[in-house]
Amino acid sequence: MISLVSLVLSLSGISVTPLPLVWSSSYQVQLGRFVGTDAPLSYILMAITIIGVLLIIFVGIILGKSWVELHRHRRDRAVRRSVREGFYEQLTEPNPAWESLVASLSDVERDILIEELSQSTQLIKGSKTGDLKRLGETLGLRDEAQAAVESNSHYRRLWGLKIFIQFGWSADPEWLSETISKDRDEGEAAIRVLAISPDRVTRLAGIDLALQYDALSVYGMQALHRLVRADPAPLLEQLNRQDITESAILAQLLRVLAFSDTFTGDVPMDGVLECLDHDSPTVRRAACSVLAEYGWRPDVRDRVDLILSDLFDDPSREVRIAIYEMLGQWDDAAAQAKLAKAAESETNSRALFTIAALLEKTDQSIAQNATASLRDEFEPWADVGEIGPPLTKFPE
Amino acid sequence: MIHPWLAVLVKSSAVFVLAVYVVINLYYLVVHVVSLIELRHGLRERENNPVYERVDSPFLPGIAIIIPAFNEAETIVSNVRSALDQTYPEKTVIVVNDGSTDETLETVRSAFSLEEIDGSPPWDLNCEPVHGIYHSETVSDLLVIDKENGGKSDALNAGIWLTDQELFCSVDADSLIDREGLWQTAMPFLANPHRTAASGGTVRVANACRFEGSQVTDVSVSRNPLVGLQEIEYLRAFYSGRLGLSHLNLLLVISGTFGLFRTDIVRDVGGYSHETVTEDVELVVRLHRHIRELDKPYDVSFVPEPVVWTQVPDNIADLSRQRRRWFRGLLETASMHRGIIGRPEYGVIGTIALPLYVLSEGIGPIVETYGYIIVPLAFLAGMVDVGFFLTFLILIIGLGLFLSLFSLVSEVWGYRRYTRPSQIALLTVYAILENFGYRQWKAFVALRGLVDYLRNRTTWGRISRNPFQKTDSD
Repeated sequence: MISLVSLVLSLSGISVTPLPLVWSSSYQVQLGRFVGTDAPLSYILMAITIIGVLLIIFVGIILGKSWVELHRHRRDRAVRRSVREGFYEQLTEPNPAWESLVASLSDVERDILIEELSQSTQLIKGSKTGDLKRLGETLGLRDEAQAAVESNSHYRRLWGLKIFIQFGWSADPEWLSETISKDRDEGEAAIRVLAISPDRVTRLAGIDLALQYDALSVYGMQALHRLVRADPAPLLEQLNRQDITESAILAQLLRVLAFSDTFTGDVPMDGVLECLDHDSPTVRRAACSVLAEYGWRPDVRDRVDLILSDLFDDPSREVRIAIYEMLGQWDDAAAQAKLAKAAESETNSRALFTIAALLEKTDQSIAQNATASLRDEFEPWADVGEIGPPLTKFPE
Repeated sequence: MIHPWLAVLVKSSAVFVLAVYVVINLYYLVVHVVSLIELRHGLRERENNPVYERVDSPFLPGIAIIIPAFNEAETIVSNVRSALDQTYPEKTVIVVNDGSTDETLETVRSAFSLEEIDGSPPWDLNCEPVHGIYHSETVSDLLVIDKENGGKSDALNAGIWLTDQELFCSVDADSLIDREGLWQTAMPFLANPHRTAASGGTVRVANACRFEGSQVTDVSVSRNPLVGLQEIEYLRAFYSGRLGLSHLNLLLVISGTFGLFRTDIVRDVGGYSHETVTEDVELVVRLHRHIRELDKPYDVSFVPEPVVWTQVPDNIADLSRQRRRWFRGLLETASMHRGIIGRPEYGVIGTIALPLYVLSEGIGPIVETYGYIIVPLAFLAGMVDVGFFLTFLILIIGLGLFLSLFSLVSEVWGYRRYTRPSQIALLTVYAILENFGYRQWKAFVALRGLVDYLRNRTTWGRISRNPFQKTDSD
């Protein structure tokens, strides 16, 4: 540290050699040096001047930028009013004359119309979405977005994908996978683009994209869910191959599956059932939440029944809670009886709370016989409901 | 004549002071520049990234907003309303009345029609005895815990142990959150659900702002110089400090005023500590330490746009109490975690973040105070020449001015909450004035904080609160 200061001082030619140690005379000597005979001092004064000038420039830039932004804001506000009027006037027409509207716009007005249009695509649904798409095309946004996705800039590609999503313009899966980079944000946005026109080809392409990553963001899960929710069979088939080694993405795929439709025909559930024995409690818990949705399939119920007592002994409280919730969701006499039985061996108060809340909604005779003390303890809380769902553990 | 050894001692001290300044200011400069880069990156991402689906998404993590309240009758209702007004859909609000002696509980009870839940809490809440838990008859997702006074950390722990939401957000009762605040703060958890352990947002000064309901309608710079100087401090701390530190993975502070954490991991480390008066800083350091010991990948993130508005002290006595407490807490945290300083197994946290934090925020003010005494003395005694003295002044004042102004660069190029040039001009005046008296005063206050620490003072010190200013039509 001292050497750093020595360097700074030597660069500016400063001496730290003590002057004669007499108060009054030394002060006079200092002042004598201050008035300008010493070269190093002139460097210091020059530094002060430079810093002063830089500060003035700095302040000027700050104030100038603030003024420019205010001016721009006022200009945009004035323009926005007229652009908005023209936009909504046309939008209420049965056949909006977008071409003439767009042709009449200045560059600033065009940018503001694009902003308005972007907001409208998120707010306006139904029959008018076609008109909004047509305005987007008239403004040349589709071509711009396509060029942006094919560009070398990460942010431009993201912007292009965003435009495809906003306007609901579908894209060729092959083109998408060839143009986007390995970046996860781009991959997830591409999955969301594929979800615009879901079919077996786009679903398989989307699942492939998702499997490129160790874990998805919540946005990626939302995108994948949108893609497969109506027909999760390709996802089940993927899980049946049992070749996903990363537990984070596996748990996420299971969660997507748990919130998707269950009318998958007779696709085997082996991949999901195998996950009940996975090392990761997050995966086991997610598998339970999938199986909760498939209680209507006897083959699934039979397989789970065979290992239910082992599942009740799971060391993870969160997994046990998921199992109780699965039984609660199956919601028939057999499942309720098993749930009541689980209450006898369960010791964790949060898990017991879950059982109590589930039994509260079930057949009163089963609940009363099996869990009288449990009901006494938790009944006042069963309807409160604000405490929240059970936790997931971090980090796996 | 002065004895030679004394001259050497004084001169060495002066050089040491200058060296510390150089290191600290270089560190600040690097962080500030990185902040600007990160700000630009964040704005571009915000502009170009596709948007999340906000409703009916089953994948959003639940968040418990925990509001510890001790004698906060003046502000608590606005505060709870701002929490309930959050656009984030999956949330629960938990107010913890920490043995208030004023009308805090009664105010909340009548404002939200609370009804006590019969029976004791369903599980141990890891806090002082609980008198009762209430839920609202009119508002869903609101719980109120009424408990014995145990301090802010104890109150937060009560909420953390009651909730089963995946995340919790600590919010001070004298603060109001922007409607989008929770959404934005949750973004790191949404982007990296498997890595993010904590995230924090920007805190801005509310004293001169006007509010309608719980939302800010007019952002103004205070004419009270003491408040205005703090506005500059807050801008610098958040936009030029934490943003850069977050990018460098060196973030040790998530403000207790508005911070979002994973509930399970905070429970795993035992919740907030009662051993320090800055429990928010200590918790983040402990989280870093814990996860590094587990050898797991993780992030502690700062998100610049979510804003919580808070009241800052508007008189010298309150401000002095607050800053002494902060400084004391910093020393307590450094002392509690001194074992990780310099140890490579704790990565950048042990080798860079904590040492630099202690140096810049702990040792820096003490050395600065010492410098204000020793360098002029050495100059007058002729032990250092005028060049040294001027270099000292340039470093203190000149770099201080640049760093103060940096925060305004972030403001005008970033999120521009202060929209009028006249406001920016006033802030510029405060940024300049900060370096002539205020900063030196803060350094002396830090020295008093050191004395408090050495005398083992553990009190918080009461700071007066005012209701938030309403808009004229309200």
